[in-house]
Amino acid sequence: MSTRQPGAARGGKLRAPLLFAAMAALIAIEAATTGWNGALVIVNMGLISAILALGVNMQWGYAGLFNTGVVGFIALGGLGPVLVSMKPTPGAFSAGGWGILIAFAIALVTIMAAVWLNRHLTRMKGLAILAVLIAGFFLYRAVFDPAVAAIQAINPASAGYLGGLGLPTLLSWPLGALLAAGAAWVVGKTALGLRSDYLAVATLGIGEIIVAVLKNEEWLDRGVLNVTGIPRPWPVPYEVDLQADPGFLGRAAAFGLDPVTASTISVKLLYGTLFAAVLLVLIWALQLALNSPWGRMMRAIRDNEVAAEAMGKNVTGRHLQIFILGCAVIGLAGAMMISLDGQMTPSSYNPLRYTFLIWVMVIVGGSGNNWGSVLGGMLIWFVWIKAEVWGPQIMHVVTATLADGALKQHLVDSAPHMRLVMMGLILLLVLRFSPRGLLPEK
Amino acid sequence: MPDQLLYAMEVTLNGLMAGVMYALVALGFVLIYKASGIFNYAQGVLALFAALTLVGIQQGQVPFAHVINAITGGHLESFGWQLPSILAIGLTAGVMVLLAIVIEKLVLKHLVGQAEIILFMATIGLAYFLEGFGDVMWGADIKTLDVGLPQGINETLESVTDGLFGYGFFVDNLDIVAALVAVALVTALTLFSQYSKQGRALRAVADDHQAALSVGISLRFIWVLVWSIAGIVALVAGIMWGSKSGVQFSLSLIALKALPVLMLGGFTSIPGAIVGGLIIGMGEKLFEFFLGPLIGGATENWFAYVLALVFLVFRPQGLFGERIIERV
Repeated sequence: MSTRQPGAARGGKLRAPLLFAAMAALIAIEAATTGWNGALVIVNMGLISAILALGVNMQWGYAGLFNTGVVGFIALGGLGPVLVSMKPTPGAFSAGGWGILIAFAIALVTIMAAVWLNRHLTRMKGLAILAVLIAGFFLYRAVFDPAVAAIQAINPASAGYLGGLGLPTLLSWPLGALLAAGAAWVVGKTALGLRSDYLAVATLGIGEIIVAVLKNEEWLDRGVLNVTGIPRPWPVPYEVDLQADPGFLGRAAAFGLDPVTASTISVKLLYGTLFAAVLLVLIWALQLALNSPWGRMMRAIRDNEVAAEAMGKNVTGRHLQIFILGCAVIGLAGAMMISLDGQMTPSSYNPLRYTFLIWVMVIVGGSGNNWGSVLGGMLIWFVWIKAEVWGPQIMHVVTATLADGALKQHLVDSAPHMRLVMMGLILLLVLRFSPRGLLPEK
Repeated sequence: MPDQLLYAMEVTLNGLMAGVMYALVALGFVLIYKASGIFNYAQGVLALFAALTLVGIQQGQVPFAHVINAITGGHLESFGWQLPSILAIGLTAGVMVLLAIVIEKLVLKHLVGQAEIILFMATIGLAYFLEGFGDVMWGADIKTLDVGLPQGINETLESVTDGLFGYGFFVDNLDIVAALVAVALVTALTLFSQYSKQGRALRAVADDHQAALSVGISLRFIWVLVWSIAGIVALVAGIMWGSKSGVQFSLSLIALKALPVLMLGGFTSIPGAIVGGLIIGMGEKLFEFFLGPLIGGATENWFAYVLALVFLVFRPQGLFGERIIERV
C-alpha cells in the first residue's frame, strides 16, 4: 500500500456516516421516483453484494490474498439451496444415489492411497502413484457412469437429477458456505505458501472448473437445464398466499395499499430484513475480529510477511485460515442469492459480473475497511442496475423534443454499454481521486 | 500409418495454430508488464476495440452514428466509402496510438507511485470503459472483418499430406497467415528493442525506473510508447481473431486465456509468450482429443489453468522468465 494518499481521508469522522446517508438518499430517491418495489429489489441484491464484498475484503483487505475465482465460490454456494431445499426426486436415490456415493468413496480412497504412497514409498514412487491413480479412475468411471445414467433417465424433462433433501431453505445457507470453504481448503492447501501469483492462477482456474462442472453434471443440478422453483427461506411467504389471506388483506387495506403491491412489497421487505440481519451479524463479528489481536496479526502479515514470520507467526497457516473464511462468506452470499432468485442457472455465472464486479466493489469502497466494502457493495450494485436506465434518461433530456420511435429503439440498444462505460468511469475516477477507496482503512 | 496417429498429428498442427492466436494476445501483456510491471487486464479489450475500429473505418461507418441520429433525428449511416485494407489498418494504428496518449494523460499519469494492484485495478476500469465505449461508438452487432486474408482449407498442405499419408490434413489458411504474422511481429519487436534508441530506453526503464529517469529518459514518453506498441499488437491480434470468428464481445475474454500462457512463458519474455501460447494451444487440443471423451469433454475451458499450475510448481518464473529474487 502506498503511504501517499492525498485527500483520501478528507471529511474525518463524518465521512462514513455522510457517505452512508448519501447512499440511503439515493435509495429513497429511487423509491420516490420508481416506487418501493424497484428500490427494494436493488436493496436486497445490494445487501448480498455487500456480503460478497465483505468476503473478498477479508481475503484481500485483511490478508492481501488475490482471489480471482470469486465466481466459482459463488456458484458453489448456490448449490447449497439446490441440495438442501429441493424435494428429492422420487426413485432417483435408489436408482443411482448409492452408485454415486460409492464412486466418490472410490475416488477418495484412490487419492488417499496416492498421498500415502507419496509419503511412504521411496523407490518406484512415481510409477506406483500413477498406477493407483489410473486404476482408481477406471474403477470410479465403471461405478459412476451407470449411476448417472440411471438418475438422468428419471423423468428427464422436469427432473433427471438427484434432487435435494426437502429441508428448510435457511439450512442451505450454512451448507453453501461449507461447500465453498471445502473447495477453498483444497485450493489453499495447494496454492498458499508459495508465491502470491500461484493463488491468482489457481483460483482463476478453479473458478472456471467449478462453473464447468456445475454446467455439465446434470445429475447434480440439471446443468444448463436449470433448477427452478427453489423454495423460499423460512419467514418469507409467497405473494399468492398473502393475497389469499384475509388478515393480510385487512392490514393492507388499513395502510391504503392494494393487495398486489402490499404483498410484493412485504415479501421483499422480509427478504431484506433477513439479509440485513445476516449482514449485521457478519460485520459485527468481522469488526471484532479485525480489532482483536488476531486482526492485528493479520494486518501485520499483510504489510510485511517476512517480518511477521520472523516474529514467529505462522504465515501460511493464517493465510489458509483467512482464505477459507473469506470463501465461506462468499459461498454464504451465493446461497442467499439463489434463494432470493428461486432458481439456479449455472450458465449465468461469468467472471466479469461475479468476480471483477465484486473486486470493483471492494476497491471503490476501500479495501481493508469492512464498512467500506458494505458501502461499495451497495453503491456499485445500485449503479450497475441504474446505469441501464440513466444513460437513456440523460439522452432523453437532451432529445426531449424528438419523436419517440427510433429514439426509443436506440435507447434500449445502448443500455448495456452505458452500464460498462459508467462502471469503468467510476472505477477510474475513484482510483484517480481517492486511490484507497471511498472509506480508506485507518 | 494408423488413423489415430494421423488424427493426432492434425490436432497437434491445429493446436499449434490456435496457440499462435493466444501468443498474439499474450505478447501485448508482456510488453506492458516488462516496461511498467502492470498486468494489463485491458489487453483483450484493446484487441476488441482495435478490431471494432478497423471494421468501422474500413466500411466508412460514422462513429457514434446511433447517438448522433438519436439526438439530431438524422439518418447517418456511413460515409459511403470502402477503404482499402492497408489504409484502414494504418488509420486504426493511428487511433491506437492516440488512445495510448489519452490513457497515459488521463489515467496512468495520475497513478505514478501507487501500488501495483491499484494500477491493475485501473486497467480493469479501463477494460470496462473501453468495452462500453467501443460499443457506443461503433454499435454492438457482431461484425465480419475481411481485410483480404486468405481463408478456408489450405489445398497445398492437404494434397501434400494426402500424397504422403493417404489422409489430407485440414489446416486453415488464416492460421498459417497468423503464424507468419506472429513471426514477423516478434522479429520486428526484437529488432526494435535491441537496435533502436527508443528500444534501448524501453529496456532501461524496464530494468530500473529510477536509474532510467536519472539519465534523462522520459518515463511518460516510454509509457505512451509501450501502450502504443501494445495497442498495435492488439490490433494485429484483433485482425486475426476478428477474421477467424467475427468481431464480437467474446473477443475481450481471451484476456483470461492469456494468463496461463504468461505463466508458462514467463511474464517478461517475448519468445516466452510465443512458446507458452504454442504449448497451451497444442496441449489443450491434444488433451481434449485423447482424454476429453474419457472425462466428459469441455476440457478446453480449464486445461490451460491446470497446466499453468503444474508449471508453476516446477518452474515458478516460467520457461523464459527472469529469476525472481525477493529481497527483504
